[in-house]
Amino acid sequence: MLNEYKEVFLEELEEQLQLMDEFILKLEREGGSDDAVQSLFRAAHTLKGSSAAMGYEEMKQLTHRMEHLLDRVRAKKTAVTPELIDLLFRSLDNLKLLKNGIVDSDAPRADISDNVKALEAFERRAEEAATSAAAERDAGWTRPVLSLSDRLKVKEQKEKGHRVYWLSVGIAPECVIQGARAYVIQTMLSEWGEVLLASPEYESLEEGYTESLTLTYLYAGTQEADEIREKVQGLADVADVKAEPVDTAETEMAAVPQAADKPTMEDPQSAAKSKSQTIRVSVDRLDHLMNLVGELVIDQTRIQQVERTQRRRFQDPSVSELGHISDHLSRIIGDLQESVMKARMLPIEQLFNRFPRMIRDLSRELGKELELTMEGQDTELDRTLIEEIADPLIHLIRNAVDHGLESPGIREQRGKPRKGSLAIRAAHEDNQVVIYVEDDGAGIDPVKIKASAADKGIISAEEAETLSDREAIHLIFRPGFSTAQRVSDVSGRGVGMDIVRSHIEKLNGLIDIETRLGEGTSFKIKLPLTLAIIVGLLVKVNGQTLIIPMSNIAEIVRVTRGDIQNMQGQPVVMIRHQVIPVVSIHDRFRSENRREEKSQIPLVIVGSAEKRLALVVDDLIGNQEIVIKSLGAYIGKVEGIAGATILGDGSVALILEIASLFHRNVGQ
Amino acid sequence: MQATEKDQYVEFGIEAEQYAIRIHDIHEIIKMQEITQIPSVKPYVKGVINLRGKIVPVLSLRKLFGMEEAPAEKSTRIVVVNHLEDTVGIIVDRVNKVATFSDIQPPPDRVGGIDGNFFVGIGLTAGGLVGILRLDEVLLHE
Repeated sequence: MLNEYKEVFLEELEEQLQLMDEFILKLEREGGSDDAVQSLFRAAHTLKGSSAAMGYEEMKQLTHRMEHLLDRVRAKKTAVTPELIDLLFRSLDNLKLLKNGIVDSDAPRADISDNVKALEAFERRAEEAATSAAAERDAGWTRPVLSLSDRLKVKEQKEKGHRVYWLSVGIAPECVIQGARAYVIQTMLSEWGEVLLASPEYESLEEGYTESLTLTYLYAGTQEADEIREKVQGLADVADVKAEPVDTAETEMAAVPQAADKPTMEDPQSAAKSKSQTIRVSVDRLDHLMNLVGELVIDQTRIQQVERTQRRRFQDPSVSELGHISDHLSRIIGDLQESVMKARMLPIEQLFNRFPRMIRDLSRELGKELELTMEGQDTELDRTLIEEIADPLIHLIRNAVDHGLESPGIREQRGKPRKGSLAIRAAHEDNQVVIYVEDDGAGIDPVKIKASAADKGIISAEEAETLSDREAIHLIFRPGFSTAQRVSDVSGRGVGMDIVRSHIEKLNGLIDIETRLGEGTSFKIKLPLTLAIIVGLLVKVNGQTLIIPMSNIAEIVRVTRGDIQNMQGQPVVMIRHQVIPVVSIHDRFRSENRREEKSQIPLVIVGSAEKRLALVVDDLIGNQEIVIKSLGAYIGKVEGIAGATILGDGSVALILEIASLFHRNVGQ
Repeated sequence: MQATEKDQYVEFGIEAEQYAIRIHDIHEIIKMQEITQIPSVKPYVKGVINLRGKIVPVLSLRKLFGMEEAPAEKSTRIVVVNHLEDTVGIIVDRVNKVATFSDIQPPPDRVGGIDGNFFVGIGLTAGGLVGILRLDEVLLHE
C-alpha cells in the first residue's frame, strides 16, 4: 500500500517540480508576473502538504520556507530580484536531489540546511528592508526586476524624449487609508506623466495595513528629477520622496538568453478540462498489454501462414473464408497494436522542457550568449525511449554550448551575431524519430581532432594521415577523447561523446554529424519509435533465419565477388565513394547444409550510431513486424544477439545486435 | 532440494542409464522440436524452442554428461522444468514413468563416469539404480 502511495506521490512531485522549473523561468523573464508567482506558491504549498503526509520531513521544511517566501512575493512585500530567482532555483535543485533520495536510497543525500537558512535569511532581509524605510533611503531601495515588456516600455519612453525615473514614495506612518492614498498618488502621477510600473499596486493594499509603507513607481515624464520630487512631496500623507533616473544597465535587453517566448499561455480552464479526461495508468500495465498484443501479432502471422498452406492444398470454400477472417483479424490486430503503442507514447516536450533551464544555467556559467529554439515538441515516442535519450541529448547540448558556440567577443570578431543560436528539433521520419541538435558555432576541425587523437594515443600518427575528414570527425566518439582545452564542469572529461554513442547504440539508433568549420555543427539522431515491436529484415545465413532491425539498416546492395576488395587485409567494398568494411558472420552460425556460392552477393549496409558495415548474407527474405523477446535469464546476454522472435512457422529466429558487430570488428 | 522417499519422480533414460527429476520441478514433457541454435553459449545449451509463444532454452544431458550426441528418435522428449525463475528444457532419450523410491542413497563421487555433483542421490527401484538429478548443478554447470 505504502509503495502505491509513494508512486502517486512521486508522480505528483515530478509534475510540480516541472511546473516550478517552468514558472521560475517565467518569473525571471517577465519580472513580477502574478500568474507565475501564484503558480509557484501553489506548487510549493501542494508539495508541503503531500511531503508532510508522506513523512518526508526535509522536503516539508524546504517547501514550507519556499511557500512562506513566495507568499510574501505574492503579497508584493518582497520584490522579484535576481537573488530571489537564484535562491528559488537553488531550492528547486535541492528538491530534485531530495526526490532522487526518495527514489533511490543509495543516491547522495541532499543537505538542505544551508538552503533553508538562506531562504530564512533572505526573508529576514526582505522584511528588514520593508520595515525600515530609513535603510532604504540610505542605500537605494529594492526595485522590481523589469520584465521584457517593461524594458520595451522604458525604451519607448526614452525614444519619445521622456525621462524615466524610479520613484520611491514613503507614506506617513499616521496615514490610515493607505490604499486610497496610494490610489491618489498613482492617479496624480498618471496625470503628470505615465506610470509604467507600480509596486505594490494599490489594489493589493486595500485590506492590508503596514506601519510603514513605501511605494515604488517606474515613472516616465517630461519633468526634471527635482521637479517631480517636489510635486509628489506636495501630496497629502507623503513622508518622503526619492527620484532616481533609471540606469541603462537595468533596461538593457535580455542579458540572459531565453527560450522563444510562449506568448499564449494555455487557458487554465481548457487545461483543466483536458486533464479530467485522462487517467493515470501504470507503465507495468501498458507493458503487459503490449506483450499480449505482441503474442497476438505472432499468432496472426502464423494463422496467415497456415492459411497459405491450406489454400495450396485444398479447394474448399472454408479455406477462402479462413482467408477473409485472417485478413480482418490482421487489420484489427494492426489497429490494436497501434493504439497500444500510442498509449505508451509521450510527446518529447516532457524532455525538451528541461532544456531552457539547463541552458540558462550553462550559458551563465560559461559566459556564452545564445538563443534557444525548439521545434517539434509534440513529436511522440515511446516513454522508455524518452528516458533513454535524455542523457545523450543533454551531453550533446552541453557540448554545443561549451565547445561549439564561441564566446560573444570571439563571435563578434568573426563577424557573427553576438548571440549564438542553438536549435533542438524533433520530427517523425518514416516510422522513426529524428532529433537534431544544431549550433552555429565554430564547427569541428578535423585537423585538430586528428592531432588531439594522436596525442592521446587513440590513433597513431600514420593512421591519422590516412583518415578522411569525415572519419577524423568521427574520432570524437572514441572513448577517452576530448578536445576541450580545459576540463570544465560542464562537459568533457573525455567521456561525453563516448557515452552519447553507446546510449544510441543501445537503442538501435544512428547518429550523424554534419559540420562546417566556422559555421556550425549539426547532430542528427535517428531512433526507432518504440522498442517492443520493430520492423526487421529477415535474412538467411548458413540456412539459419536471422533478423536485422530495420532501424540499423542504411541500405541493401547486391555486389559481385569482384566488387569486394582487400585493403590492409580487410575485405572492403566501395559504395558511393565510401569505403565500407565487409563483415561475414557465417562462422558464428555454422550449420551442416552449406550453400553453394552465388555470383551475386547481397550486402546489407548496417549502421550503429555513426559507424557503417556491410554484412554478407546468403538470402534476403523480406520485411516483417516482429516482437522482440528476450532469450531469458538462463541464457543471459549473448554477444551479437539482441533477442529472438517467433516467426510465422512457429520457429524461433534470432535478432542480430548490430552494435556488437562493430566491437567485434575493432577487436579483429 | 532435499530428496525424500515420499516424493514422486519422473524417471527417464539416456542410453542404458535411468535418471529422475522430482515431479514438483517439472513443468511439462513435450516431443522433440525444432531448435534454434544460439552462437557462443555453453556447449551443452542446444538453443531455444518456442513453447506456446514463450522462448525456452533447451540443453542436452548427453553433452553435459560427456556422451556422444545422438540424432532425435521417435521416443526423444524434452523435459521442461521450472527452476528458480527459469523455464528450461532438458533433452532425454525417453521418458519411462512416474516413480517413487523406497530408498535413496547419497551419491558417490562418480556415477558411471559422471560427476557425482550432478546428483542429489541414487534411488533404488526394482528395476535398478536411478540417478536423481540436482537441478542447480545440471542447469548452472559451468
